[in-house]
Amino acid sequence: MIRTLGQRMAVRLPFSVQQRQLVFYWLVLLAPLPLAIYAIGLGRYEIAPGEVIDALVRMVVDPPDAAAAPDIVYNVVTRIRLPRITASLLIGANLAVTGVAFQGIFRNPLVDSNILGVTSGAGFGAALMLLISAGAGMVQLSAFGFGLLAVFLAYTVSRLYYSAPLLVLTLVGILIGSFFGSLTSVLKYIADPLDSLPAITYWLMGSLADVTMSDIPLLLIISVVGMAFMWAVRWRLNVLSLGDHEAQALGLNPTRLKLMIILFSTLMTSVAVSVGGVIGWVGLVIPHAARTLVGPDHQRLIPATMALGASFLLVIDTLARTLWSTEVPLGVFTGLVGVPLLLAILRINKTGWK
Amino acid sequence: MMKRSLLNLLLVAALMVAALPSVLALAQEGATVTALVDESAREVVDAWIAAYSEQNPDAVFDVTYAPADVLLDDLSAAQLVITRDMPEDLPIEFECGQIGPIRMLLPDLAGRYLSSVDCDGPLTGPAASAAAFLEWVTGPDGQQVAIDLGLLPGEVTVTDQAGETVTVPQPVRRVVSAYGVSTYFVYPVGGEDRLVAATYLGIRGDEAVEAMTRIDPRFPEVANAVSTLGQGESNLEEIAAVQPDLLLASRDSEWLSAAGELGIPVLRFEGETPESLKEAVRLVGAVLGPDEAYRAEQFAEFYDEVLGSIQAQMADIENPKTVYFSGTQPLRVASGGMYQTAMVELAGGVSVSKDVPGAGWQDVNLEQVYNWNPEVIFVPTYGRATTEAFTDDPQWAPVQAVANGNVIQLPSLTGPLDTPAPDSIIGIIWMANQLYPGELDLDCEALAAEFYARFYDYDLTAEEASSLCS
Repeated sequence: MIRTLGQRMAVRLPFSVQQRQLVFYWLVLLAPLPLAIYAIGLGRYEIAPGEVIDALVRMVVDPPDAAAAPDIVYNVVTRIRLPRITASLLIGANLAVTGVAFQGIFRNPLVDSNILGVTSGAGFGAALMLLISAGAGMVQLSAFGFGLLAVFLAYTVSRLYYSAPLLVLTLVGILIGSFFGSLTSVLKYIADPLDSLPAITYWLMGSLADVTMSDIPLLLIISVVGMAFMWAVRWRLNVLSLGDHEAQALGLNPTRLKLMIILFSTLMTSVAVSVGGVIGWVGLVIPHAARTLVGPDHQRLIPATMALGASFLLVIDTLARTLWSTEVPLGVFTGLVGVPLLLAILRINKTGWK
Repeated sequence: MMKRSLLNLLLVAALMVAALPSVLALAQEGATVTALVDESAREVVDAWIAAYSEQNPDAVFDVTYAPADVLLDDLSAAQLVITRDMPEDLPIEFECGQIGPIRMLLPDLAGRYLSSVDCDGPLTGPAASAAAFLEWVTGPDGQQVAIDLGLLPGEVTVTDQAGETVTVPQPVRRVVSAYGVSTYFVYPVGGEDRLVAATYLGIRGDEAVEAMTRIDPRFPEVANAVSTLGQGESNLEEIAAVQPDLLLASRDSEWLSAAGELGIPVLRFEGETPESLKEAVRLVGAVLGPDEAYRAEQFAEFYDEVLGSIQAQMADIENPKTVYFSGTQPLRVASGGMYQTAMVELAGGVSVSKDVPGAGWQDVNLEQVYNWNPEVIFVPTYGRATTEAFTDDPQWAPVQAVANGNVIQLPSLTGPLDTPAPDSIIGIIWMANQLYPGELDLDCEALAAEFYARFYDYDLTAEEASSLCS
């Protein structure tokens, strides 16, 4: 008799599905912290664990004067690794949780937050600024702005049509995304192959190599507010995924709620993309992985997705910055790791989408 | 007595005034070129002079044919010498005059002009006519005469840098260069007059455009002759419209298969090493003509001499400096396969990124830079690269190069000096002097002036030389 991997696992584990999901839930939820602590000790510049701890303690207790002689160990730990690890956790959580929220409201397992064109818009915004050789601040601002603009366009244009709002919104979102994708291609075509073209190409593959402390505040604020919102609406997402009529029957205003979720998701994705560039796959793969581990109930799925997304991008980014002397674009890595992971999940998935 | 001598004097003066117009007229006609020609080359030289005189009726030649062994015995009256074995140093010295460079009229026949009157400055009188004649003979019209006599081949077959065998009918009159680097291969061999449309790598901003226009007054016309011309995409119909005999292109251009349909011979180039640069210049020389081929060798010799000199002097340098060659952003570095990395090594530096794989710019993180801790950082002249990006960023402060003020931007006259174009030799000389200031016997300004005079036919101003070397 041929049994699936899930059946074999079920045979080996003496727990019920519910118990197992509870264990996974807590494991996933707690994973980012030890991983982050471990990651801060890793890097191309070798620092003994004691010195890392010493630097972190000094940062909290007695931050050295900025004018003082530069201390490489302290700088590496607090100014290079800490912002980067923070950014990878926040961006991973953002992309993953917006993915699960979109899959919930669109009732479609194939979407992530890019379905309304936010990433394509942000990519165009960044490419535009990279083309005219603007500074890093302008690139981020433009990426953020065009990400919002793309979703705004998709949403308003879709209101012009009266049939099947969700389907139209999806379709218009895909169209707007393709439109910005074409605009980006135009920019790449006219870009200087010596200078702006590699910058645009690299940006479109995602990287956290340039992240500094100054990038963190906005990312942190939007991420925390956004994640708090997602946490707050997590049971409503369960209702929404039943369909609009059921949601209305249960006293929800599904249109307003969806708009709110789209708004917050777009803000979260935009800020993530503006800092880290286009990092694909996280928003699609992680929700499925989380669903496999903790089940489809958004009460647990939302926190688990955030934690799993944070852990995933942290691991990927740590590999990207430590494996070789050059940085590997994150989009490449998430694809290389994400696709086999998704295939494996589809194989063992027992509790997700049918 | 007194009256008579005064009368005589007046008479003489009057005669002189009367004769003046005819003397002036003689000077305006360009005067007669006195030429000394190896008698074994009589047939072809006569044919050249006949064809040249047809196009330039004012030109008058007074040719003396002599056997080679006595030809150079008395050069005092000659403005033009044509012989098979042209010595580097002619057996004559002028108190104030010029001896022109050797021009290869045929693979085994050389010519040069002499002027006993023009100190520096432009040539005048018969010497100018002699130089113009040599220019014409080495040009397509002169080549055509030699081809008709069977002294030059009707077509030249070479293997280009994509490994393709290319047959180029001779002479080549109209060249289009659709690759920003290959355009610069045409200048050192003296073929720039044959460019009808070309794209020039990295000439940005008014200053660079002005400098390139000073070097080649035809630059604006040539650069704008075809609207879309480049490595990525070119307008094939516009290329066809300028009727080229030869197309220079990048090995990586995908539109070339369509260009092949036009029936224009295409030479493909790839250049990321010093060897491929020299080979590329030789290829262009080989298909343009014997003088161009000779000049390509001259360029290769100059290049090798400079590199040899640096290498010899590096034997005395105990600790070679470590170098980080940055790209358009601080955290972007030249990988091991790039020409920039080769330049750093040739200039006597040690590239910290020489083991970084890949053929393009690679992104690295600061921890890796701290690990490398380079002593010198070179910054290119394109994109938004600035030295301030390093010096104003506290994160870079611990790096040796930043702490010691050794973040240096490359100089620039026209395009960037860190591309596999011939003028990259100036970039290498500059780098060596920046790495080991005062320690090397390598006069950047003199070498730059020599390079531009010999390979761009352009006299650098003192200002340009000093800005190229600072």
